[in-house]
Amino acid sequence: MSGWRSWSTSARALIVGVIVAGLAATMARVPQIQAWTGKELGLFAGFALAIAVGEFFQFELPYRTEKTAYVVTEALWTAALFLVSPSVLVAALLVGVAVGQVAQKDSPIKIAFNAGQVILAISVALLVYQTFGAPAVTEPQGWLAAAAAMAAYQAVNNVLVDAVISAIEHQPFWQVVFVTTGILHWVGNLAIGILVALLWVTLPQALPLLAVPLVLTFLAYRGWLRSIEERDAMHEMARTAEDISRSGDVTTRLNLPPAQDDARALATRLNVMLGRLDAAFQRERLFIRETSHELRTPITICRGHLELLDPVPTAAELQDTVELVIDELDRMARIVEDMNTLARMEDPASLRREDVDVDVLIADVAAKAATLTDGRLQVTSAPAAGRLRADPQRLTQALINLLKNAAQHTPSDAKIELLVSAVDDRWRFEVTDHGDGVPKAEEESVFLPFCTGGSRAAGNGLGLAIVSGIARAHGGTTGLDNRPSSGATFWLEVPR
Amino acid sequence: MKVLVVEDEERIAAFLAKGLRQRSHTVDVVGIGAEALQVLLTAYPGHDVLVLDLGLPDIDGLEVLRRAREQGVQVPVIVVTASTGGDDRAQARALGVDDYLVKPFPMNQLLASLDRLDPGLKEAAVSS
Repeated sequence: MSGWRSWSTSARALIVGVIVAGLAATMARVPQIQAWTGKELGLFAGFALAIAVGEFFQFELPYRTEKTAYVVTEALWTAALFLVSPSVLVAALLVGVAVGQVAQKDSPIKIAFNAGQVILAISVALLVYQTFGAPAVTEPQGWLAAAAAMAAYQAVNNVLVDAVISAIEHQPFWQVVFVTTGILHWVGNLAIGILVALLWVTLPQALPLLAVPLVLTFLAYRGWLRSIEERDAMHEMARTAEDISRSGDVTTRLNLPPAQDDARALATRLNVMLGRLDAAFQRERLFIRETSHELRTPITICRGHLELLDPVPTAAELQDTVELVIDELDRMARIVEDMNTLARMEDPASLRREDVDVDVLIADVAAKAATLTDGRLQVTSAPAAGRLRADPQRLTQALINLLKNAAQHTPSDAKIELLVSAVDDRWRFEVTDHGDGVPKAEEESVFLPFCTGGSRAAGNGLGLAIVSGIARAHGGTTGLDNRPSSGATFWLEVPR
Repeated sequence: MKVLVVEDEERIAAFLAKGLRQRSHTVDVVGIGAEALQVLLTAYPGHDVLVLDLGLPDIDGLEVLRRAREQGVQVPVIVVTASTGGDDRAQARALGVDDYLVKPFPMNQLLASLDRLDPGLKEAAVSS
């Protein structure tokens, strides 16, 4: 229980009522307590200690902000019905519960409510037991009396706890009762309690034997409750997964179950997967939007020029328009081809890896880029150039794209540098230009598809995205060292 | 009408100007936002309508319009853009854009937009 201030007036009234009633029931026993003998004092101390220790052995079934505790100590109270006087039982209960919960650092309001609640419940149980004439544990009638008394205890206890939960959670009362009532719990504690009392009276030295079935029951019970929790968590996950597949909304995430168990680990992993899917869908939407945007320009040009072509054009007009339309169609074809390349690049399976001699690769790139760079290319190779495992065609394409980008943004007399070096466990390829650098705002997005803003708008915006795709497919990365107004170095690193 | 076309793609600007001139409009063409802003601010009210592309290389078309509006330029505007982003359209509306054409569009659509801005001119163009 937490959040006293946030609870409704009825919830608060209920809690205060239970505490006051519990206090009154305790006060009624004070005259008897004052008349205790030394033996009763000893029994009180022993039971209070046993109850306090027993508070640590409880199973909790979480229900939203509340937890319903299944406590073995109730078996002790069943035994105590037979073995000690009512005043000893009530006092031991009060002290035992309070000490046990203080030791577990429960909130004062929870301790006070729980103490009040058990005092009330055990007072009702004592009343029922005495109605049967307080029979001894050695008579079957005593067992019947204990069963009735503990049923009354359980009823009062559950009604009080469930009433508080339903007042705080605003849940229908019957629904909460259904969730938390434990018939098994009652039967189990009753049987153990009767056995304890029987052994105590007949053969006390056999009492330790009871520890074995107790521990086994503890383990079985705990496992059973956990499986209920996991089952509920699985149902919840299945429902959310069904919602996602029906709505197609991958921004939804699974609620993490409260318990630190396998179900929670599974939900966490599924959420990571959903996050990746979400990001992939967003990338795809962006890509489609950018692609359609990019194709609109050449289509607009073709459409506009054909629409405005004179019905009886001169030979020169016709020639100009045909050339222009073919040129724009080529531009569209290049965009489509690059998009296709980009889509394939992302997939490592599309690579044809082989042993590549770095020097041969660089010589090949330089030869292919000769026209592009028009004698301005300056190549610096690593002193001990070696080999790498890569798709030579793709890597060549990536480096040529970098050189093409540099050529487009470098004054016609400035040199372009290609540098190859070995950095730790990677090969690093750098292409440096001496243009205006990349505008600050575009540094982050320069390797994304269709980033062509500002002064660097020369290609169709897919060249660097393809470089990045090729690097990623090789398990490598790309980056930019920008020097605004004096040039930029684009680099690509792949594992050696 | 006197039309200022702001369009960075020369080939688009070329046919826009051709189509507008065929309908007896007077056309000025600029290719970058800074130049458009300069023309709008110094020559205002020199043009009857602004035909504005949004994806300009230097200053975004909507930013050009925002700055011009801040300086009191109340010229009617027809946006011609390849962008279909929902946000652009809403921003354009907030800046008092009269029409929003997504590329590619038939020339007649642009001409009809101009006619709606000046119904009298359509009569004149048809009768001439």
